Amino acid sequence: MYTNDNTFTSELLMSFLDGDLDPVREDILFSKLAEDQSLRFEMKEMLSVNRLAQLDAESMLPPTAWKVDVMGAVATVNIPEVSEKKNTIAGAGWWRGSFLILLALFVGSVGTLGIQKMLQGDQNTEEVLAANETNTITTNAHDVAETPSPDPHEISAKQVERPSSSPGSVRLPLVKLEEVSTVASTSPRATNSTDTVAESLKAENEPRAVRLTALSPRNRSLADTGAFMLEKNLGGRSKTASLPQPLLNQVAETDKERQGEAGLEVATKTSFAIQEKELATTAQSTDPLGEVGISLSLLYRLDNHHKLGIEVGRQRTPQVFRGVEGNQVVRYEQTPTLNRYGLLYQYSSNDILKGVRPVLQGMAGFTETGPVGNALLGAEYAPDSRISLMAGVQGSLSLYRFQENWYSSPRLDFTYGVAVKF
Amino acid sequence: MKEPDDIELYNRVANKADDAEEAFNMLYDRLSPHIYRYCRYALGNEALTKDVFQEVFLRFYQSIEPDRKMTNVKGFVIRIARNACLSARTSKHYGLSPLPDEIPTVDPGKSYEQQELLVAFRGAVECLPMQYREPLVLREYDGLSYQEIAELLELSLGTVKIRIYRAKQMIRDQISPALAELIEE
Repeated sequence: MYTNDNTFTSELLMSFLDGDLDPVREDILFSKLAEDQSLRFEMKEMLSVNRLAQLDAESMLPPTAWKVDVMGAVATVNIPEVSEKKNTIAGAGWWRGSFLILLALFVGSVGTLGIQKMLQGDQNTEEVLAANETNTITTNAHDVAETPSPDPHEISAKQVERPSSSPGSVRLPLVKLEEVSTVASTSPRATNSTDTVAESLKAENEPRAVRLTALSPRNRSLADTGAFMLEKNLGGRSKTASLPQPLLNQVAETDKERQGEAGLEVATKTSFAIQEKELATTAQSTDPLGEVGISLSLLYRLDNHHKLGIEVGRQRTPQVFRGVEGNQVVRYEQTPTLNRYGLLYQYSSNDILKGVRPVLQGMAGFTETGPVGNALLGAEYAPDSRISLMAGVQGSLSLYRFQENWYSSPRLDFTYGVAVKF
Repeated sequence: MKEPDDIELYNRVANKADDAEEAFNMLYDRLSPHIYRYCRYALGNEALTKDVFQEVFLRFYQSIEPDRKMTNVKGFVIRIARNACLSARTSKHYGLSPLPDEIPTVDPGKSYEQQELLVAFRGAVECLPMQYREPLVLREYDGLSYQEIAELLELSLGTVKIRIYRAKQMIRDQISPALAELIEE
């Protein structure tokens, strides 16, 4: 129901002038026209306006000389192919040199850290292997029993390493002897077992660390499984024992922290444009990937929240620029698919739901035609300690230069991807 | 013999047919009045209109490709013109100059009063805010459908209709006395 009669009448008049008034509403309009003289006059005026517009349109023609100019320009101007232009817009510059220096620094830093970590890992393994050359104590959940010790000379390095490298096992950090012996117990059996182990360890007066190797199935926390094996040189005896819950919790916490410790991560992302630079033409991309953007990243986890890395990717990038061809100013449009190389920083906060955490990511780098940067806001879901899924919205800006002028191409993408931790 | 439509002409040019030059000439003859009117009313400056007009046809010619599936040549060229005008309006050399008062192609049989009315009408169109002037010109001068205008301007169909109607109301208000005389005659 119309509350404003004038509005309704205007709509009727508008539809009538457009010729799309249905018979029912036409009757209403005609009855109003019969009653209202000013409405009749308004309709006449609007019809006159239409007629004047028609007359004006008919009278407005381009000067004939312009055709000669256009045809002459079309015939003489060398019309560049879109693909040829891409190579002539700025492709090399200070940003590429700067980026390569940063890239070299990053690769050097990550490489140095990685080598240091590898050396440290080898040293620890060597310590354990050296300890097991003579004897082993094994603690196993809910079993407290002394087992005959194998001949120390029959225990090979391979046998000792098996638990940590078998599927489902998790290597734990070194734990000091004092920590084992001072943990409060919650279970008499566990207390006995741990005491036994601790006493045995103390008896040997071994100042070196004990290596814990958890035999937990994949995707389960250590606190749930409660199965451990202590390996230590205690002089010719092997024992099996449970560990107290607080120690299990402590080890589980250590394990959790370990997931966020330094390490490498490979991630791949796919993106679809939500919004991008609009072109007057609809040049079709020859790229088989079309409008899909892809990227591959190598990230180094600094800690549980911060990651640094490098990214390579490719993206369709609409570009508009102007240039002088002969004596003509020509506007160019093209949509090349550009490769991009950049340095990446990612920050992820604490979990807001189980396994889900917000992620903020920034990238700076270059394409064949100039510098590029992007920022991503999204969420990461880690169903597993090794794999995480990510989705978010990414805004990016690429700059390009033609004949000393800079231009930009902003875009907004929906992005999703997967990352694998090592 | 039936006249070839715009798409047929476009394809002849794109495929470099023997009569490609003639086909482009025909396309120019058909499209140039639309492009001129649009640019003239969008820019309000005759000198700039000439530059942009030429640029539009150059850009159109550059964009012709055999693989492009063309469905609406006029809409395509008007889109190029719109982008070119938007760029030109943001340039530092942009300025307004009134349209010429003479109406060179008006029917000589028309009275002086009618010609004066047409000049007044043109002035009223030029005075419209761009958001009303642009859809009006696209509709009344370039013959685009409401749907085509809505897509080009990224507006809803209803908004386009209302803006065109408002534009006509504003023109009517501006030249109302002259219109009244015309109606009474």
